[in-house]
Amino acid sequence: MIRSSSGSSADMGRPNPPAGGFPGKTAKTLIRYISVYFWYLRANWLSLMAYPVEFIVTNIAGMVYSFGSVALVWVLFTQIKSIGDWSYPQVLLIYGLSIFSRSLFHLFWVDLMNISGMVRMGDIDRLLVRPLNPLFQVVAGYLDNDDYGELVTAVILVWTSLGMLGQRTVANLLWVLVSVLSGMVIFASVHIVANAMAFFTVESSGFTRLAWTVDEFTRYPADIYGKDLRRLLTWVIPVSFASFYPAQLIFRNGDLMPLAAITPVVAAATFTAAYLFWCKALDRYQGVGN
Amino acid sequence: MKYLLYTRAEFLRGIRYRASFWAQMASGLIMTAIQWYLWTAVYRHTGSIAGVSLQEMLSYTLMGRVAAGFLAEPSNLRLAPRVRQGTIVHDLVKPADLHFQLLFQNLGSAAFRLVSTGLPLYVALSVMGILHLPDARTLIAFVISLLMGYVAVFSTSFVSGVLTFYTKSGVGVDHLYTVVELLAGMYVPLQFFPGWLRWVAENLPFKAIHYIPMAIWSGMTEPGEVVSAVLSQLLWTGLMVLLCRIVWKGAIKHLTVQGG
Repeated sequence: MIRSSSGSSADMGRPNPPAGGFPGKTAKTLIRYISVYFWYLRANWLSLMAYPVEFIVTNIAGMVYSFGSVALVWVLFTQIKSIGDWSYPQVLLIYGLSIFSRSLFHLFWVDLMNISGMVRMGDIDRLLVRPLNPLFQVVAGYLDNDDYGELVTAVILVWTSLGMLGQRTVANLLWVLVSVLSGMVIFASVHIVANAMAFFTVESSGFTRLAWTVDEFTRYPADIYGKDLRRLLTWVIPVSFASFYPAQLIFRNGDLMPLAAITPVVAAATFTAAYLFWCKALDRYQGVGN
Repeated sequence: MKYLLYTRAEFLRGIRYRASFWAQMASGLIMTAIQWYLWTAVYRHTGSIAGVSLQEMLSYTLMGRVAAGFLAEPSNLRLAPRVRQGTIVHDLVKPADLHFQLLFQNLGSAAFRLVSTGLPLYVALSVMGILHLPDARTLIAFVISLLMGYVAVFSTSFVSGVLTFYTKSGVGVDHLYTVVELLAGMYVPLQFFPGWLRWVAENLPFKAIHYIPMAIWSGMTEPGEVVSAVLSQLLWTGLMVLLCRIVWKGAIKHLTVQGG
């Protein structure tokens, strides 16, 4: 009896059905989403430019903040030659890819963290009745404008370490682009699952916090962790594909190159799994009443 | 002492809102594991770095994780919102000094974090044989030093919170907090720093937050130097408290609350 009322909201919450065998329609949907996203970005940009000084100061501070955390690596390498079997530029590149992926995730997906609040306030219902994918609406609504500083730090780190390795080629730069986008998607998937817990438990800040902590693993070479932990971070919560594995392609590290090459595939698979979980969770969503 | 009532109240509040306890525990464990693996890998090809052995390093950094909740940057010290909303008036008419009130209030939540997440971690690490209790004299010095570490971290945030109320900017020390953490020795002990950075860190008060207590605990500070380390920490912490008083008194004079 109670299920019947939730059933209707869940149906609305379901993503647009895939256009079966009609490529024209899929393309149309895609174009529609891109243009809507463009309008979201434009609104975001305009609100940003209302307080340009605050924006600049916050982001310079953000850059200092992220350099402060990289200082650990730099200070360490004034004393030592390697972490495990990785040299200074290699560790820097892994660290750089990690915060590159993470800052892209942070920039574009930060509103995932509000899902718990939206569930509590009943704002999710508003998204469900609109003719757009609910996940898209949650994510597209806001860019985290405090996060360009970390992005700049990441670009500097990657650029510098590629130079130190003598690997600053066009092909490698393109690969960096592919791998940080994959990394962003992997982080986003982890956070989608963590935040979708709000549909079961209403309060999900604990899971969110855990998701943020899991990101920390990607800052250092994944093979320093024990065998089981490393397997977990490769095949279950595949965050190692956000930094460690894609870097192996640039190091031309024979053993790990096949794993490096499947980075985008892993990202797509992870996202699919996370999205299915999200849909399941949304199906279960009954609202908090009122 | 009336201020201790604030400490007690905050501690009890922590017990009531323990919803995020397991997540905090789990992320604390993850951070601890990362630190352990990282340092083990760093020491794989060497026995000693800047005179620090792996055992000392693990003891320094993992005790740092145990105390992380206690020495965490206090939240909600920003005075600008209280000024903007005018609620600071309520704080000022109370027969308690706001600076001391906040100092003792935050001590309550810091102590709660130490007991709720630090203590279980400590027990786990000592059962695993990674952390060992030092001798009684070192232990006493460490506890005193840890308490002063709290006063130092509180004072850092408090001064920055008061300054936001002069600058009216949203950017405070929490936006630059990794720099404080670095200079406090939270990432690596100060002897790892290259010469000039070491000089900077030695001449700033932040080492009183983390480095001094953890160096005492881990034995990096020779037994003969423990007393002088604690005394220098006392000096730095005293200076920070004094600075808090000065900016705070200045801020009250400077204060205009609008509306009402």
